[in-house]
Amino acid sequence: MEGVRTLSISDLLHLSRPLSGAASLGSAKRPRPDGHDENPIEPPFASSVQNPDPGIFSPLGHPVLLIGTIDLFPEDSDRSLGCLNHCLSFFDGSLRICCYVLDFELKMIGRKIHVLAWNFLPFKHASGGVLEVIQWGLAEVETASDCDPSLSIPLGCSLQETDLKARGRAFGILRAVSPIFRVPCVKGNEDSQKNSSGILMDRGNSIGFIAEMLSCGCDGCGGSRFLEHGRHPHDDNNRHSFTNSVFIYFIKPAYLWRPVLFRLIGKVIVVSRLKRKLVFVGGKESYPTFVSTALTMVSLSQLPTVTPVKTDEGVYNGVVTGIYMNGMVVELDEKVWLLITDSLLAPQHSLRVGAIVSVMNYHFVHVNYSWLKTFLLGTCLRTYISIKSFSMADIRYQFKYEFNSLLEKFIESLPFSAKFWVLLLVSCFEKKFAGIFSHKDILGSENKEGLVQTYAARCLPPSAFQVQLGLFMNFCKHGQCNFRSDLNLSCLKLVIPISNLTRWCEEMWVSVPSERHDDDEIVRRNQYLDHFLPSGTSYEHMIRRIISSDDLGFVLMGVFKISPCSGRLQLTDATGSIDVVVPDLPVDVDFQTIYEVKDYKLVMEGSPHQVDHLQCHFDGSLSCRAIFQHFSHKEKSQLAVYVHFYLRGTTWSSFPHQIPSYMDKNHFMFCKDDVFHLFLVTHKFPVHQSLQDDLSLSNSSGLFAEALILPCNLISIETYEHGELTDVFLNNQHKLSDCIGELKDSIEGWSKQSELIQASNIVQHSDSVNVSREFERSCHLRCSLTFRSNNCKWSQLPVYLYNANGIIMKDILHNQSDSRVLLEFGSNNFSKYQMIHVGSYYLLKCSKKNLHSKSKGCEHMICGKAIVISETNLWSLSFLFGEDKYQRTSSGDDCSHASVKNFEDGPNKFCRHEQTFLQFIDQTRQFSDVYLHISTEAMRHLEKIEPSQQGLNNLLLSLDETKSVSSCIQNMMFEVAMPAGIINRLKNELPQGTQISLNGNVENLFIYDCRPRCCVSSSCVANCNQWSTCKVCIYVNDDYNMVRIRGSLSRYAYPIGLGPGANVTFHRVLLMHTSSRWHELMLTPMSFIVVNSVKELANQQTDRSPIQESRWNIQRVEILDTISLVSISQMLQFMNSKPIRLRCRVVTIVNLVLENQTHESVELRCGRYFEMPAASIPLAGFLLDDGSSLCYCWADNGRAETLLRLHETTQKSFLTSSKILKMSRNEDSQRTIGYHLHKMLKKHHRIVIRNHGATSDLSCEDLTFSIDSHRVFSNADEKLLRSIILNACHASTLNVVGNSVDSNAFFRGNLFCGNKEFLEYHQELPHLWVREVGHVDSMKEDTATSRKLAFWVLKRQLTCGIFLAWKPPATNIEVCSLL
Amino acid sequence: MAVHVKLLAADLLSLAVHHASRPPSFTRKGKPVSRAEAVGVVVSRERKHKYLSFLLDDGSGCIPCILWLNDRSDRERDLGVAAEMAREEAAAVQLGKLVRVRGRITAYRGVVQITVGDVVVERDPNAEVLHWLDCVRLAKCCYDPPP
Repeated sequence: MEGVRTLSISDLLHLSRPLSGAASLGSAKRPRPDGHDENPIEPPFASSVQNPDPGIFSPLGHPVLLIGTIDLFPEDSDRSLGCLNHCLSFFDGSLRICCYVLDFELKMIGRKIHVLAWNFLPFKHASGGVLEVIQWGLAEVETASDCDPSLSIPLGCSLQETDLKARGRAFGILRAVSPIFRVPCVKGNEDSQKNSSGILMDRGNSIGFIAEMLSCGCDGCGGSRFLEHGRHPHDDNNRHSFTNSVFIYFIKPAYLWRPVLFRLIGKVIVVSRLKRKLVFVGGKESYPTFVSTALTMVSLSQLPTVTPVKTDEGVYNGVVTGIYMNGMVVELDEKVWLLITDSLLAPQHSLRVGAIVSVMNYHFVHVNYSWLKTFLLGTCLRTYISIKSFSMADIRYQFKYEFNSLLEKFIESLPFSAKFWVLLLVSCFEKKFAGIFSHKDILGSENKEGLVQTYAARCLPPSAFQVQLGLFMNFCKHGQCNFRSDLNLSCLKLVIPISNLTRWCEEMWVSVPSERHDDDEIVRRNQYLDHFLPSGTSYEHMIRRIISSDDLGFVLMGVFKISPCSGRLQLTDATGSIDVVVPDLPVDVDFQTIYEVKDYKLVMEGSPHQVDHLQCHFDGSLSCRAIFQHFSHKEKSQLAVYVHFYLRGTTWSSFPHQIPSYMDKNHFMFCKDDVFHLFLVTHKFPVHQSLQDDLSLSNSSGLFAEALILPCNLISIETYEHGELTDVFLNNQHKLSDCIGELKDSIEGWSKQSELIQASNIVQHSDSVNVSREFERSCHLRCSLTFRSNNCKWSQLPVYLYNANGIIMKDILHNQSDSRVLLEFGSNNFSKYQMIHVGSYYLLKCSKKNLHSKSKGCEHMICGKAIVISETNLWSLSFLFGEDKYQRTSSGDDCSHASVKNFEDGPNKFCRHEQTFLQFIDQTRQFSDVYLHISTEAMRHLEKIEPSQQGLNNLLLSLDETKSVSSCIQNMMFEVAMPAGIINRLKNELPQGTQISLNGNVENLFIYDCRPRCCVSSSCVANCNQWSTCKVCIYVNDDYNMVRIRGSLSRYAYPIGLGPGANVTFHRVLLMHTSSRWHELMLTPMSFIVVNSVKELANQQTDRSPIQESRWNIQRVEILDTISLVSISQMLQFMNSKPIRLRCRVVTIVNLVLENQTHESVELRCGRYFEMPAASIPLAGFLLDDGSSLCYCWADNGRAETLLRLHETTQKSFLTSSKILKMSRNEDSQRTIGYHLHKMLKKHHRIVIRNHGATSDLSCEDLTFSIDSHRVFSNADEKLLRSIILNACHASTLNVVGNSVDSNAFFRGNLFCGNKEFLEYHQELPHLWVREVGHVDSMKEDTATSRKLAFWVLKRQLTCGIFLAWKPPATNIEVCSLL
Repeated sequence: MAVHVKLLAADLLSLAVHHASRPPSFTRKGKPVSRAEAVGVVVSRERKHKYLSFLLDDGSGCIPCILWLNDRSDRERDLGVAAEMAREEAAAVQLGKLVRVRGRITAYRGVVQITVGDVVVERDPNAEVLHWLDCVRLAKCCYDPPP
């Protein structure tokens, strides 16, 4: 071994880093001849490769040799139990370190060896290290005694007592070895502490391990097989059959043999000098067992034919690809999970990522969770895990040795599949609640259950818990312990960390079949759509997918949070947050409680291309590896993901920090002196500023809502009867006191209603009832208040509905300004602002203090001052009228039986593809915090005052009617037809118009001019926090019509789900007093958008109905063909029903409004495909003729253009008029009609043409022209218009699709002021609202009509027998016809 | 009612003429008609200064048509737009062209004719067949008295 240096253990420890070395290296440098390399330490390390990665073993550049003795650890060594189970010791004369030998042989024990190839790994948290011996050789020459190696207790190590009883001998195959364990000894006296072999036990504990041998049952071994003096097994090596199980208990000091015996598994050994015992387990079963003595000796059998046996379960050899959960879970080959719940089972030092291990005696379990299918290798006390090849990476984990906490005991008691789930759960909880709860809260301690255990115990089926067997039984009854293959755990779900969920959504998104890319192309080719996009907008096809929790294998858990940057409600954990939509969230939602959401719908929105670039990084966010590993998902996805669920469907466990989230009875009981105001939220003002901004500068949070205070307060019965408050109220009724004289008169009227006083059951027969008080009482109503408390019980409290001002409901409607108040939400009450809904009633607590402090009345009632909602309690309220049968006499009914509302209706019924958000007014009633019940009897008297039920329920409707798109367009029509015109001439003026509320389905949404410029698509905007305002253009439709809403939208006002496929209510948008090509509405800073529902959008193309297409002015004959042809004479039969089709011609025009094509703030892209129309036509009326009769038809925009043939006409040159124009043949005279029209409209802005020809001659001679400008309307202008109109009247036949409408509606709307004579002349004619105009495909029409006629002819033939054949001269087609 | 009834030539030419009224009125199976629409091939054409007269053959007969070129040339009222258009249309009516004609039903020397309001040249030959079918359909469901 020339040039090989010898290293000592101290050298290795000195370096304290992972090293590997060998005695011979192929490319090793030759030692230098100058002798400088004499130094045994420096040169090798200096030349060793400086590996930058400390996790990788550094190979030594020179051949090195380690010399030392391999032995067992002495009994007095301070090694841990883990080392004692697996490690041999390597002793070089000065130091002793752990050692693991790859090709172990019994003969090396106690011998000096040369370690020829090795790894050294220093311990991280302790002194010492482990030497991994890859190749070794004996230092000395083998002697004859070496051929028969054995293991025995050294002399002097134990008592030199010869026990004659120790005559037992076991011969057979070593099958299994248990880890070293301690058995508590219950006997207390000194004598019994000595075991039968005379060894003094540890104080009360016996330490040792059990080994199982398969002994021979052959005749030769037969009866004498356990006797020391029987025939030596080596004598006859042909007849052995190793079938009988024998257990040997290696007790102290022989327990130190465990690392050796462990390596002898599968070999035939002889254990001699044993003592026989009979072990009773549980008083029933007995096992014959050998116990080691001081003389016990283990030697290898010399039987040459016996090969290592195969165990029942086989062997799994695999590469360690991951070690998680303190070594409890080991991933092998990236597919199989080795579950090591007892860490003593595996050699911890060498079980590193990259090592090849061999597992024997395992339990193979096929795990089938709802979200995961995988394979488990379950371990038990008999499992044999050995290293086949060492890893060259120092990726190791801290193994735990002690099983003390309740959780670990709990895990131990479970079958493998449940055990694995709990381990996943632990990992999830640790990630989810890191920083929210302490480690101890999550995992529990020795005395206290943690969150994980509480949750797991609730989720696991009872069958998962099994009776714990003792250690000995576990070992003996292999195959039964901890192993229940029949257990169905498919109900177990993953409590997914939110970062994993977000990632999973992206994976799902990418894995969506690529079919949609084709659809995208179709949309892109749509020239019309392209044309109407504002410039700079890149159009993206949005897809929305809704996945039900039933199809997902995970549950959500977290706390609610209002995101400071988006203002949205989120479910959050330590890993991330996800936006949520919870329709039944109470106003006072608890932001501390942990909610577990099992029943939910996951919504994903985005474009199909959005996360393509991420595809290569996906590694399965739901895989066990992703759950066990630290999984960080920092990159912000452009995919919008949110979850919709109902709070009543969630559960929350008895976690710490739990606070009741519902109204408590105490709120009422302890607030006897308080009154509760009732108000109806009529509008919410959107948030415009960041909540992160410094609010102290502005003195205002900027969170406002408008409400209508009802003139009724609620007081508890006790308060009223106390009487004091009544006086306060009376004093505060300044209105009342001011007009007390007037009241006296009215009191007479009131007092006649004695029934009311009696019925309301509140009359206090006091002598000092003055007039005012009498009036007061007459306005009281006894009701009951039902509310949910935190324990999900319903409670009831009698209250008085107290009319504060003597104002009755209808007065509110007449005099709204008096009752309207502004609610201001404190900046720390953003959640309350978010929770309130427009159109819902709320209760606001007003303490007595407020009443006294102001002489003018309750401070909430002071006109012009905003009510600041800070710490005040708010509850949503619903009225229940006259439902006597629901009235409960006792409180405390379980809410599952609550009949306040039938919860089974409505909200639970998810349509398959439609997700309802339930923010409609009538539906939110079902989720109120409190219910005010007004009995039928009370109602009867109340209705004498006013129609209360109708009044309360329809209050909002009467105040703020939400229009449909069609009715909105009708409104626009009425306005544009006004003679004066309503165009906004000066562009600098603020937009003018009326505020309306509009409900409709979003067809599409385009984002342009996002500031700061970072987003270009709606789905991007929905999930991006980088922008503050953006300009949007939203196309909203009902089934037949579409309007465009545009304007600026703040990020905080951008609701979840806004996008195509959403049903949205736009509160207070401006109906612009200017019109352009499209019906248009404008978002103002006051406008508030509420998303009512969203639906899945998989394929937008197929989703469109034929009529919807028409809104893009695409004339498609095939679409027109789908609607049945009707004669005008039959039209009256189809009044207000399905669309009808006429094949007709324009006779004349009735009305025509032409406007300048305005582009104001939206710059339209004058596209490559599309010629801009010369004019905008908000309204045109025509008289149509189809040969059967005449009818009026009304059209706008594209449809009117087609009826006017404007596309054709405007292309014609206007040469003929050159004389009239008095122009020379200059350039202008060459221009088209379209050019001149555009120019004219630019001059006059707007021209209204009316036909007054009330004669039977339907000429166009009685036209009048009115303009909106003061410029001269020249003859040339008139001629141009006349030629356009005449051209329209000389058109060929057209297909016109529309709806028959009631003519009275047109007259009522004053639409045709100044033109009535025309209409009155033809008053009996039907009216058609045009939705689509197209050209006639004669061929198709021929076919359809001839079919119809053939059928008719056939019918006629049968009845009359008349048939004529007739050949027309112009064609060769034979037509069967009946003339 | 000023509906343009769709009638084939054979039907149109056999309308009952009531000379008692001025101008004469027309009835079909007892129902008054005043305007008509016809589709056919121009088989004869005569252009004069003030009018264009042409014959329209729809397979069942030939309808005499007259298009006045100066009749509505009341420049005070429509700035001559109608006259201009009439001239344009007259130029388009050529022999062999399939045209659609709408106008008032009049009589000239005891023969029913159409005083043309507008003429449209049809480019699709199927339009003629469709017109026949329409004539049959409308006669059946609209013009004829119920059986």
